[in-house]
Amino acid sequence: MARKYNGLSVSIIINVVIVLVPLNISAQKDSLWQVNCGFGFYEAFNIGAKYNYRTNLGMRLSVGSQLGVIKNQKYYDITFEHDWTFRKKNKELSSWSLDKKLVFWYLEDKYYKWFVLSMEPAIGKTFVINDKVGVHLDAGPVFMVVLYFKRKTFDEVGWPRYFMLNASLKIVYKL
Amino acid sequence: MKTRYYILIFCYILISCNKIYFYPDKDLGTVKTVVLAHAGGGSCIYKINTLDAAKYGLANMEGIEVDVQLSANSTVWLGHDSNLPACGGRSEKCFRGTTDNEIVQLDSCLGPGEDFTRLEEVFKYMAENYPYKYISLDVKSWSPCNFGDLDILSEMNTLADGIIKLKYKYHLINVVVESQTATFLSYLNDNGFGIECYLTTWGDFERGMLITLKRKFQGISFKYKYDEVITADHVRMLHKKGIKIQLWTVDKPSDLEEAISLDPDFIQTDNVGYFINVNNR
Repeated sequence: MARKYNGLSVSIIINVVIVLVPLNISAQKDSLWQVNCGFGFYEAFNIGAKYNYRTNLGMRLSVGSQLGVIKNQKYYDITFEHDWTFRKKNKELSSWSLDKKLVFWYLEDKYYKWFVLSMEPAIGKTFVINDKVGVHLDAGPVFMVVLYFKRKTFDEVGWPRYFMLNASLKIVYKL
Repeated sequence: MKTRYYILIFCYILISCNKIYFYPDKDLGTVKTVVLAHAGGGSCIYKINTLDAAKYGLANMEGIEVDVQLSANSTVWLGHDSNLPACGGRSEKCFRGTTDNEIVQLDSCLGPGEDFTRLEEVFKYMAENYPYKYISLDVKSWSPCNFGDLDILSEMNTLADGIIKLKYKYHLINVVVESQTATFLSYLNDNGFGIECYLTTWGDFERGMLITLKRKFQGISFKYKYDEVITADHVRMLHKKGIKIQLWTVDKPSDLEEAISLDPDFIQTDNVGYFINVNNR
């Protein structure tokens, strides 16, 4: 039987993440790598890593799930993100950025199975909490392409919204 | 502490939005299936898409289905093909490039076997004899025959205007239009009050249903036993969402019995004789 999560357990998870992440873990100071965890409408509860291959350019890969928050619904996603960051030095965490995201998500409810690609240009901002930790917020319009769907019952007729606004929040930790 | 609550509220708002849009229910209630004679009179002794065929179909069935074309004078004629046949010294030519007079001359040239009919003649006949019966107009995808016809939307809207004008002139109640061209149907839906619009689909049920719901058409026109199998569950779901369905063209007695058992709104058939026999029993 699938494990069910309720609002309280989600609140605990988020609080634990917020409390634990700022703990200092020894690592190289100007590493090009970041790890992140957070929540987004299409990214769901996600964890991932980012590699800055240039001072201003980086790529992030995250995997996410709704963790059963919505009952009778399974949701998994994988997000590829490419960021163009407006900053002068690689080690700076605080910055504005232009993010391009591809979110491949799978949603299964009692009526359908969906496999959808969401494409999103987003504007993001990273707020510094300390030298290593920041909060990254981004938002932008999302355009959907349905890659696959399968009807499970004849009770409902639905379709992924062609256009939505997405927002996501991540806690980033600079390694 | 306050920040964390804002974060929680932010997450909650995001979670509560639904990624899938579900169309609301608009139950149609009890459905009475209307059987239409395909191409006017089905496979009767009369040529398809003619006034004689339409008279035969109307006398024996609850309604008729006919194909329509537009002439160079923007008159709506009955016709299946976008091209008119060659005759005498005249070569094959498309309907849209032929004037009404040329169509009348062609009619004479082809002899008694041919009979080109204006849609107005059928509407007039129906208004005088069968004002409550159904007529379904099948509008094929537009095939431009010269550079002037390349504005497909404008050409098809001219055809829509012709149908709307005739509907209002003869006060027919049950006029249905079926077409694969959704933009044409949208124009008709917006401007032809009382005309029911059906999106023609060659077996792609889900696509047809979704476009119909999105564009707020009245139904889908579904090619029976062509690509996808249609079941009573499909029909029930359509009716639950307020969509009607026409099945075409169902001819074999076993298929007709099966199709009727699905409770569709319309069935188009060439087998008018089957229903004449059933009614005579």
